[in-house]
Amino acid sequence: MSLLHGWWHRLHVLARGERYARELDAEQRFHRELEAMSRTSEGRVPHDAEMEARRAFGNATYYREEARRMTPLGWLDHLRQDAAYAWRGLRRSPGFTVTVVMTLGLGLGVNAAMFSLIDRLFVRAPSGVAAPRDVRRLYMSVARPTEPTGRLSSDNFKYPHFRAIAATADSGFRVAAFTYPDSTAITSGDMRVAVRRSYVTGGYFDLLGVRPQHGRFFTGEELLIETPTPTVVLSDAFWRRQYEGDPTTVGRIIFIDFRPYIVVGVAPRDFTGADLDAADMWTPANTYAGSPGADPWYTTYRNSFRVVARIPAGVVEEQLLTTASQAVRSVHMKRYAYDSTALVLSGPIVRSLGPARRAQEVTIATRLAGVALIVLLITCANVANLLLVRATRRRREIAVRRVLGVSAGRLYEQLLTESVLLAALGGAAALLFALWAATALRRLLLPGVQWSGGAVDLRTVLFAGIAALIVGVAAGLAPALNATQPDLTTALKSGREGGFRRSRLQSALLIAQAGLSVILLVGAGLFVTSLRNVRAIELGYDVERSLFIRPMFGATPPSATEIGAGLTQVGARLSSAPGVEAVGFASSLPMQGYSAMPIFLPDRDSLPALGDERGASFNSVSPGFLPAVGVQLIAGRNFNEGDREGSLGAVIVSRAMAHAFWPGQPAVGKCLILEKRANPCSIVVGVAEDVNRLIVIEKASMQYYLPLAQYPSVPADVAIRTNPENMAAVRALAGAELKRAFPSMTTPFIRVMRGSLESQYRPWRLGALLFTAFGALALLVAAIGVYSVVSYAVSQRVHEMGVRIALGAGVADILRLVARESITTVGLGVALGIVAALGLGRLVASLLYGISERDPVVLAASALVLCLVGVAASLVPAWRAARVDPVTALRAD
Amino acid sequence: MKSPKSDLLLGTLDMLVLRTLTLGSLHGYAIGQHIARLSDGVLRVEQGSLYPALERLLTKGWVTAKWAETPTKRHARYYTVTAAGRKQLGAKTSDYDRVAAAIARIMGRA
Repeated sequence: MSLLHGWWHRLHVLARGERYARELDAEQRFHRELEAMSRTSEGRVPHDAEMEARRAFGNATYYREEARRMTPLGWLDHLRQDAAYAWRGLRRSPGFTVTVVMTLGLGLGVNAAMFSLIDRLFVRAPSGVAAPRDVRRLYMSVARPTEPTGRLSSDNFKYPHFRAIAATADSGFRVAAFTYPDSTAITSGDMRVAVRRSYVTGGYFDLLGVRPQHGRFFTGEELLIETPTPTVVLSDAFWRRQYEGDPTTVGRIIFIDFRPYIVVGVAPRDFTGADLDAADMWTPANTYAGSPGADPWYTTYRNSFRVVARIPAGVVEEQLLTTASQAVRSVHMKRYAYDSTALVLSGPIVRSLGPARRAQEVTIATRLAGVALIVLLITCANVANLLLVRATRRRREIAVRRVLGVSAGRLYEQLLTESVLLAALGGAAALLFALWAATALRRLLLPGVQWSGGAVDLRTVLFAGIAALIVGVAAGLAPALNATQPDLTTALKSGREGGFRRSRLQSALLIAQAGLSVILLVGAGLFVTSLRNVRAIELGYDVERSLFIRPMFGATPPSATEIGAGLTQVGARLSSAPGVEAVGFASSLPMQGYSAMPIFLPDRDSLPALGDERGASFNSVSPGFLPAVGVQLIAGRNFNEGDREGSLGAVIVSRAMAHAFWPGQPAVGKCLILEKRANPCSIVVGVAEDVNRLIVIEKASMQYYLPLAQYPSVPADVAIRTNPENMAAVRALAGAELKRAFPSMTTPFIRVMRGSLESQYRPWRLGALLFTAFGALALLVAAIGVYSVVSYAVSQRVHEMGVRIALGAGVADILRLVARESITTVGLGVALGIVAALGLGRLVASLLYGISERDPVVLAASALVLCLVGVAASLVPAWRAARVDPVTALRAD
Repeated sequence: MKSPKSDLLLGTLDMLVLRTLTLGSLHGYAIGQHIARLSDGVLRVEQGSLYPALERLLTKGWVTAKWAETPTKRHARYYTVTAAGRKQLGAKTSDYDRVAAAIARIMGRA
């Protein structure tokens, strides 16, 4: 019974909330009135009686608080009250609130976005996979002397390797192979829908524990490798997107790249494959269309599979891996370097956690997570500083409330509630920001990945919530502690302007902000310089004005010879077209691959080599090709119509090759023997500027060019040189000419050389972009911090400034006085930041190009920028201080 | 500003309030008056600690409260002791008797 009454009361209080508090007030008022009445009846004047009753009652606020504290679920009531109080307080100072919420929103948002990326990259197993911990990804480690460790691990297996491993798998231990989703298209008539298809071996779905939501997965003959069985399983997303989730799609025939496939099933909603990249569809491995050759593709090295294994409980993984390693070493493939030391390793199903070398983007992602954390720390310091300024500004108010009987604990709770409320608002802003930022980060960092699932999910929301709470408490703690223990007498006596200047805590926070910001600025400087250095690398080609056009064909392409003949025709017509400066053909396009054959010098047994052991590579080119791609001749002549089949063999060599083969002598006129030592001399007719062979950053390599007419090869593309103004017109013209030559052609594939190289600059561009963005953010936040702290300090010293000005201090004196203090603080922070940047530099050293991570110019510039921002941010309030009217200031208090 | 917080005193105030309420439903002021009158003004319940005590008793379910009209047509909150409250009063009274007797013995008055 007693319990029931008690709980009933608790509920009653909770339900009535503020009204219950008013009831308590009414009750006590009633009490005082009766008290006063009884005293009046004793013959005292009503006013005195009232006062006496009040005195008898004691500290009303304190007891009211006590009574409230006694009420059940008081804490909840408190929380509500505190939240309402905090909300009112925040609404009273919208400038402060907006600044803090925005700062927190950016700081937390960046981290939430980073979290969602890191979570997907390193933590979360692919969705839809049953018991992902038991699924292991296999890797092969081979000897590679050029690697720092001497070995290279990758998850790239050739089908024969997989077959050998699968053959050793006894009952229980299962393996399956699948390809990275390739880009192909669903075709029907003229329509092409781009899709990503993964080839999988039998048992792939079974091993991952996936069940079809419609139809079936692969069975029977589809599990065998020898004969193609054109069947396909669709992903849920693709099935919904393309077939509107129609269950009768199963059994239909669809065309993948003009070949018919029967849809046999649809994968469950949450399954998108074992990789980060989502696949739209899966077909049996036996539909793999290897390059045509004498041997079936699955016995050659011309394929690439990833392998997963499910290891049952009780099986020792090491034994399985030993067996698998032996199996791999038993594989011999034609023209494939055999490695007797090959080892099979295993790792978690999450690829980024495995032993394979990571993409540079992934490395950058981990560094950026650190950077995001720095941004969060800066934000935290800034918010703490703003709260501190606010709490100090409210010193008198707080002291008054203390004297009125509000307990220290209560005030403490209120201040903390305020900061947590701010953090909650900041967290909400952060999620909005993260929604955009996480998607942008994904696209920026790993654009090739077709992500399954949204960028911001429940885990990210949870992360943002927890982070906001921690930041709220952490940033609110110091100000709350500071404000609730003031010396009441001093605070009350001191009037509006306390003797306060700037607490040590505030200075420490400013120093931390300045230091952390410098680290980010140094990072930005290093990456921007790296990007500029990489871009400045001379590739030897005119990348801005070279255009490559390749005709594309549907199901029945013309023969290679027909294409070659057609292209020659097109080239002849285009070369006389307006806006076209040169047209050419070659066996391989710049930086798209290269060929090599044995070469000899008549008077020497061995050939000189450059540091790079790959030797000289060649390209068969038409006379127009070198001008078309902008390769400069530095000596001799270009090929011409005279260099044709049957005439004297002609060669153009690169500068590096000329220098290595004939040092100190003119190369033109020298003899080079191609293919076989017995062959006649080919004569060097020209020397061309060096060009890059494959990538932007590579060691100098030796190249030579042969006339396409003497070393025929069937070109697939036409290379055109034009200028930027005529680019569009030339593209259209070339497209029309191609269509005329090849009526069966679909849309041609057109590339500007600059565009196809752009992806190679990505790591640096990314680093430069993100570090600069974060650095600018940090700078802004630091500027806000300095500004608000100095403004506050100045507002506290108006009286002092008034006296100084009255005594004859000039504007410059006041500016110096105010700015000096903040510059000292910022300077100290900058110094510490530079020291930290020196220490942290080696973490990004491997990502930089052409600049040391301790580059003095970058360090000095970053320090200077931050100091300047510090000065600028403190000069505005200092200027305000200098314009104080001494009369007003002195009269004010 | 420290309120009396020793167990003995707290318990005593609760006991006095519960005992007073066995006379019938009373409002806070009347409770205080009653205690003061019966003790000839020796025990003056500080009104500021009376209401927290009442709130505590409410939470424990030993009393219930209800707004009602006073004979002078004013609104007051009347407290009534519950069955559990009476049981508690019995327990507290015997505790008090034991303690009082013990103190008396120490003071050499028994």
